Amino acid sequence: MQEDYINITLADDDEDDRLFFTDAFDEIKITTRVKTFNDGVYLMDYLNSKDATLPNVLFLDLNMPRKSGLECLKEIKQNPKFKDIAIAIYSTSASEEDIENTFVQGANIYIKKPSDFKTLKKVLSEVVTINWQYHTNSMNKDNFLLRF
Amino acid sequence: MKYFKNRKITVLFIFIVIMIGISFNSCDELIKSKKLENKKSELKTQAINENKNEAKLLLMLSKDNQEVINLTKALQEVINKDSIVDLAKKIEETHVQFAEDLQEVATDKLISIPNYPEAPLNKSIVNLTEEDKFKALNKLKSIIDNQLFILNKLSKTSNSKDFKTLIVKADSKINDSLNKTKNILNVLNTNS
Amino acid sequence: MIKTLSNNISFLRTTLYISAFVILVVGALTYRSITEVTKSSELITHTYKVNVELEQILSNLKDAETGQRGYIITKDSVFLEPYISGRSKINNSFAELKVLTKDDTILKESLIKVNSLINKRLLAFQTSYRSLPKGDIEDPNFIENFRNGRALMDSIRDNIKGIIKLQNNLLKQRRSEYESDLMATPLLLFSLLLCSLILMYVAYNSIYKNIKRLKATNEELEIFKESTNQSEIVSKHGSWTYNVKRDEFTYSDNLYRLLGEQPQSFKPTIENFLTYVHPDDVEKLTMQVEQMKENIELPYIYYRVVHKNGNIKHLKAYGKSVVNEDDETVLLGTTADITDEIISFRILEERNAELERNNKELSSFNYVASHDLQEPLRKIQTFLSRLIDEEEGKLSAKGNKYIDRIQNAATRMRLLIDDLLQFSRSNKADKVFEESNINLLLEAAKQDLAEVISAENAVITSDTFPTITVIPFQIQQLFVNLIGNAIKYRMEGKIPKINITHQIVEAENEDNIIKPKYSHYHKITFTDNGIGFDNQYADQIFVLFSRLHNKDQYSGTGIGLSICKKIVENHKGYITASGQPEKGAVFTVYLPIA
Repeated sequence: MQEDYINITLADDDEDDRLFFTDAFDEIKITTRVKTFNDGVYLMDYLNSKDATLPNVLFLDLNMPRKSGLECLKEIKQNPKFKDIAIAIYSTSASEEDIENTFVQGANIYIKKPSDFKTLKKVLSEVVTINWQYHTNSMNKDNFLLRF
Repeated sequence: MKYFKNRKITVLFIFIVIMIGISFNSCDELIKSKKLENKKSELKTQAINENKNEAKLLLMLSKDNQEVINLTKALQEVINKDSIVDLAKKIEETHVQFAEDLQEVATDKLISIPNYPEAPLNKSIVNLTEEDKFKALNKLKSIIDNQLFILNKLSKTSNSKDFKTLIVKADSKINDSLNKTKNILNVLNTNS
Repeated sequence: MIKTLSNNISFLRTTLYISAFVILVVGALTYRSITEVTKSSELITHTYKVNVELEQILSNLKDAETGQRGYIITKDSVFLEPYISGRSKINNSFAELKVLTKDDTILKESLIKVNSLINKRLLAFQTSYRSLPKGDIEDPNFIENFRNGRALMDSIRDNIKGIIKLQNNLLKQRRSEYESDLMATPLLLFSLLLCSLILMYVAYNSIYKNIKRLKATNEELEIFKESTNQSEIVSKHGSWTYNVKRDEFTYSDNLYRLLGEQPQSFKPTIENFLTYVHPDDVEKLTMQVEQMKENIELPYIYYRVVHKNGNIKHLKAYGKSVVNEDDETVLLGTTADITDEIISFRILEERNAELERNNKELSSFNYVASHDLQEPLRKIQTFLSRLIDEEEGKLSAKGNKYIDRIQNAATRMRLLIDDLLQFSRSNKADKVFEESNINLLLEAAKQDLAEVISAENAVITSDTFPTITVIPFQIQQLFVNLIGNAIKYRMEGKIPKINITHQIVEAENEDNIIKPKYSHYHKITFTDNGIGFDNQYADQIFVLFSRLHNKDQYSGTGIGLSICKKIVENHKGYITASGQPEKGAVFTVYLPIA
């Protein structure tokens, strides 16, 4: 889809995190359209709806009520309709288990939520500008966890 | 019956039974053999006595026989009547034969009897009176009688086969002689 | 011991039979010898008798001859007496001889010959005696007769002498036999006696020895029995036997005590025993006993009994079969009271379970706490940074200072939480050991510290490591902590140099290792040229939350080295440190080679 803006979606149950996210993208000099959802159910409902605009990059929090990020990831990867969506896991924890599971389920990148706003902006801009086609081919576990 | 299950006791029992049996047997044997021994020696002495008796009787018979022969020979010389002489001769012949039979038996039985035919005759009675003739005849008769008596005794006491045959053979003959002698006596008695 | 005794008995029996046989044989020989002797003497007597009779005949004949001569000389018929009686005497002798020689045909023939000669002689006597009254001794017939008579006499004498000689030879032969038999008999008797005596003595000896041995064994057995009884009481065991053929049990004294009863207080049957067994276990036990009777063995079985006073005891029983002297199979069994063990085991299990639960709770608490604490902290930090970005110019100097201080505190808290998280991760129960490429782990650790390493231009040299079986992420953490420390506590002005070496060492050669569990260890040393430390603190630095500097000099939580120690302990290894102030420090890690 060749648009001049990038479609970004975030699913996160934390209000503050959603605020940081949108503020960060506001300040990034990239043209983006950001959508946020409060939990996994809202996200999947939207994605599965008829006239949904599928995002280019989807940021998934892991610890969400009703439907966790991992479950959403599984569902998305099972649906061929969503094959072009690049999925970045956006989580507080950086436990081996979570990294492993999400890597195995086919997430494209794992981001540990930074505690500094400047770092956050840098990370987000990096992520959305990755050429995902190119990136996916050479993906391995070492590159999976984003280092900053 | 529990005891019999135990091998050892069974063996012991059998052993004791066998031992008792053997000891009874051997005692029995010993007693029997002793009896046998006694019987044997008894038989032996009996046989010896029998033999001695036979020998004695046979000797007496033979002596008597010789006397008879002598007497009859002498009588033949002194008697005139031919018929009596004939009788006498017959008697002599019988007794000579008897003497031979006796000798045969004697040799078989290892009894020694005098062999008279070879001994010469005693001629002392040739010249005798009539009375003496009668005496002689009577003597003859008693001797022959005696012979019969001895024969009888012999037949009673002897078990020997030879003797028995002899006795049977002789008995009738000697009886015959006795009769002949009696005849002679009668004839002579009627004559004188 | 029993075996040698029974061998002895059969040996004794064999000797008895052999000796009895020998004695019987010798006895039989002796008996035969005695009968032989009797027979021999009888034969001798017999021969003597024959000789005597023959001599008698000769003598009678001589008497007759002498008598005849006397008569010829004196003409007195008195002298004829021996001749007259001679014949009958000779006949008598022959009568005896006849019976004596009944079975000897040769002798009989000789006697017949002699008899005929004697007859001839007697006849010669008669002839000469008859012809004598002529009174003429000069008569040639008479002389002829006389001579003839003499010849006959000689012939008779010779014959009789011949017979006598024959008899004498026979006699001699029989005598020699008799002698030898005579010799043998007492010898045999004596040997018989000797045999019996020896046998008796040997038997007595053997029996005496056996009895003594038996006595000694019995005494030992008594002592043994007593000590077994004692040991049964002390170890809370009871023993029992089961005779397969007779279907009988025997119970030892202590087995009754295990049931809470007095020894031998009831008949040892399985029914009586089952009355004490816990109702839940009765069926199973009955089945097991049935099986035991079939298979003649009892594998380990467990069941409970209830004493009369209500106590429940746990018992364990085991039985093994043995074949005894009379070829009977007997099952020897032991029953042990394992109630105490079971109780302590249960208590132990409970405590363990409790501890594990506690541990798990603490662990998860630790983890969750650190994890959940991260969230608000992150928020604080992010908002702070935003605040600084947005409102920096608008705030007063005091305000800025306060914000700065807040940020510091937040950063410190973050460090603490990170370290706590690390600590809790090294606690996790499910640790997976893998054969890992240590070199890769080292590289990964260096990657984790990439920023700091490049910031300080730290130089890290290392040996090549072999593959070791470890928990990979923990070893990686170990490297991170130790290398991080080395760089953190660098000497000002010096470029931090860290050297990591590897060796395989023997446990007994290393003084650092106390009570090693393995014989060989990997020895990994981390040598740095940092500020070092005083050696007296070598043990203290591994204690949780313990620091040698305050937070203003060097940042730190005091958890890092405790984490290292925990990790090394997870691998059953050791970690030691030694330092020289202002020169540097050496950290040594020992990992066992299994």
